[in-house]
Amino acid sequence: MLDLPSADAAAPPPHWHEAPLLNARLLLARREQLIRADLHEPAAASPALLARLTAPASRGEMLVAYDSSDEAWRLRHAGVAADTQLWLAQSVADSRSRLFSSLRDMLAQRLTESVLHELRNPLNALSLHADLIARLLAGDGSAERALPSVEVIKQRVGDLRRRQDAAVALWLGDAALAEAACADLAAVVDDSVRLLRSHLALQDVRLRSVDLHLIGAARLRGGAAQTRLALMALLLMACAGAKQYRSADGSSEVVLQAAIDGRALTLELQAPIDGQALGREVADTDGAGLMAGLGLLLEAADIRLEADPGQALTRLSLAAE
Amino acid sequence: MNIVLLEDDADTREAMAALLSLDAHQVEQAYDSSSFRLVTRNLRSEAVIFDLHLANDSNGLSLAMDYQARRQAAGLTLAKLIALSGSGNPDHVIANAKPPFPVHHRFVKPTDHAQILAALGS
Repeated sequence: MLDLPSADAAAPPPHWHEAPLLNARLLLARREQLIRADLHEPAAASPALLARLTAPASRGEMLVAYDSSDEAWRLRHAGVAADTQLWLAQSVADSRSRLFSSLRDMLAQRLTESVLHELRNPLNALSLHADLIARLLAGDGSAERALPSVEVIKQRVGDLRRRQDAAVALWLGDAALAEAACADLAAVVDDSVRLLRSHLALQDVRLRSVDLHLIGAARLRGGAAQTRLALMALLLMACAGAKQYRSADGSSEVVLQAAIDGRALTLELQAPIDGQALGREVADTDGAGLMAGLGLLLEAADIRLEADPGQALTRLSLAAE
Repeated sequence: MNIVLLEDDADTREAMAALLSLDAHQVEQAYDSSSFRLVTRNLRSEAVIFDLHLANDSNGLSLAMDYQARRQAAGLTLAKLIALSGSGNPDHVIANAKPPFPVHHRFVKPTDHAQILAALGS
């Protein structure tokens, strides 16, 4: 049964209000009854919550409720039809899972597109160097002259393998792994940067990392897969933003910097963020909603997300352990 | 034959230049608009092999057209133009651009060196 939070419950974080409710359940509140619209069946709610849901509300108004297993639910007012108040409802865990899947599909599509788009160029280099080796060996038979081409082939094959690994890792990424506790934060950041580096390079945007060694042995309290995905989404949006705002010499750069202040570890992403494309497709909402969605994902790892668009700065803060 | 090769991928450019040199061609290499203008300033190249999509915001097709215009203005015969595309059908790209001079050959990467040689010789 859903119930309103007790009076002493902590207020929900602000991003719960703005994070999108993807494929949320529609509840109909009327005549002291709550009905699940998909099943045409009553849904259990406490009298206090029911009174709140049947009372007039403004569109978009947000409520937080808890079910009998103490799981948090978000309810958003979606409108009024005759004597019925319409509410969208979703458990926070379900919101995270749906955001994760939606964001992963979008990122995987973007990265796969960039790999496929550029595949012909590395293939061309491989093909030409293979031709060159054949010609050199058939000519004076000197294997030494062919060695630079062998090295190029090895490097380009390695590059293709890394890009393929990145796409496969994304497609097969499992939201259920998100709750693996105490993940190594440095490894999660490394993964995210590695997966996005070739995408940024293709967009002619430089990714510079500063003082990432300060992350040291910091552990995530959970949500490794979600943190990786949220970081990648932020890097992708930073890349799109940096591309739009090139400096006078035509260069653009995204900086990822780690800093420690006492026991607080922060990761600062210095770049304008362009969440428009991802925002529309992933969150069916605006950039603020998308950032709130990323905040919801990062929350699973006890990481706080603050964005300052004016300073082109996004800050992730977590308590170092 | 004097050839200018305009390609932003260094590995591809160097391999193609080496192969063409083995076939007794003289090859100048360029990777963007400024290097292209530098190596073509004497208008000596009789053929231009160019990548349609350069990563550094230079446009291979317009640079090739500019070269033809400079040769025409100098009273020289037009150079042979060979376009390479790494990301799509070059015929569509060229048709949409409506270039003032013809592009004689178009290839999709990965290119077959024998085909490039045949195009140069035709």
